[in-house]
Amino acid sequence: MNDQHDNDQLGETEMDRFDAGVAKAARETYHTPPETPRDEMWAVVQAARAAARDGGDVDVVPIRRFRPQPWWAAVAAALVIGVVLGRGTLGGGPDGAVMIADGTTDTPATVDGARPARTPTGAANVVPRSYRVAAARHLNRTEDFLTMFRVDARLDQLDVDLGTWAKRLLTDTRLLLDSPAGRDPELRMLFGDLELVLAQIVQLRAGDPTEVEIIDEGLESSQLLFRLKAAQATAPAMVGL
Amino acid sequence: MNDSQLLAKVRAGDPAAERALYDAHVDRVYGLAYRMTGDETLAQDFTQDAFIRAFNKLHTFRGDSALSTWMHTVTTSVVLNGLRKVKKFRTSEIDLERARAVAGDKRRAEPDLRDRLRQAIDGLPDGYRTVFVMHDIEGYTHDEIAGALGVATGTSKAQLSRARAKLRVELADFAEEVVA
Repeated sequence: MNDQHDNDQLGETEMDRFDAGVAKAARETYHTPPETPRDEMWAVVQAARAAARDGGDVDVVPIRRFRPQPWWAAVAAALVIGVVLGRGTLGGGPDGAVMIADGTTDTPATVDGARPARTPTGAANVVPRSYRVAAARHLNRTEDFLTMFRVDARLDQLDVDLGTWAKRLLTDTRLLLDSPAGRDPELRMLFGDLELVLAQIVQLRAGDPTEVEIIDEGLESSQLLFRLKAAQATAPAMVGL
Repeated sequence: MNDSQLLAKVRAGDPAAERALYDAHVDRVYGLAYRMTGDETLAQDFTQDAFIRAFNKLHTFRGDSALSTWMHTVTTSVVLNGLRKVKKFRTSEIDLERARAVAGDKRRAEPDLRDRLRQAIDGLPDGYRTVFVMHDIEGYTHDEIAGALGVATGTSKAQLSRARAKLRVELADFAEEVVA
């Protein structure tokens, strides 16, 4: 009886040592985190907080399932509405750009959360609100698309309609680049980078893993998804989307 | 500055107080997110989202627990919920790592402890893996895990026990190395 008890105790001790050894090895080797990118993440959090303070809650969802519903219709509608409203308000006015009490216009915050200097009304880079709404919707859809592209590429399960979706997004990106939304330097740079990536996806030959890898690496190195998220978080027009 | 002072400042929209709250918790949240995903981009996304949501929900904090406990519960829940949505992504990462290992290191005939350990942890059922990573790797208590996962403390303990038992079997060949 005592022997059995001793054996159990011994077994338990060995198991404890084994478990402790596994935990130690796991702490040292299993997905060991790099240094926390505090400031980089704080910039996004701060931007979202600032946007929430300015215009209400901002719900930033990191990974959204791309839904192949006829979303392009929504994007096209948003663009058309943006163009119509924008034309009606170009030349300045209370509805054309975000007016501020001191007679200046509010421009979107930059990625690092800092707001650029306010510009006098009528300045060349003022983006009418309607175009910002259209741009924000487009960025939202493009983020969905690129996120799912990355996931599917890594699973080697690229959708056959990928090129069609990319082509539509590319067309809308170019439309926005040439619209008043393209006057904003930050947005213009983002649209430019999006145009490049989307064009690569449009031209992607089926079953070419090297091209897919190049696009994936390009997305990573340009931090495009991060910038897309930051641009949306800083755009008050995104509220409610 | 104590919890209630910090909370009052954050609620008043003081950016410095928000940053202080963020700094106090970000390492732990990011650490868990990275351990669970093994992917920097995803870990950053989850961590950012966790804090944005926590700040937005701060008005619901009633003071029933310590602010740090509440913060951990909210942020960890966001991270774990996000992970469920991208389970597919994790699978692809594992495949990618395996493919890279096979292609890049043909000299080694037998996997070492590090490889086998990773495979064994990745192979755990989701619930077991989550509790093992949180408790044995990241040092969460069973109460914290139970709060974040919305389960009973006993469930957390049972899942950890089963996770360890599975790892013991999977890593039996490496017993000497593990306990050395």
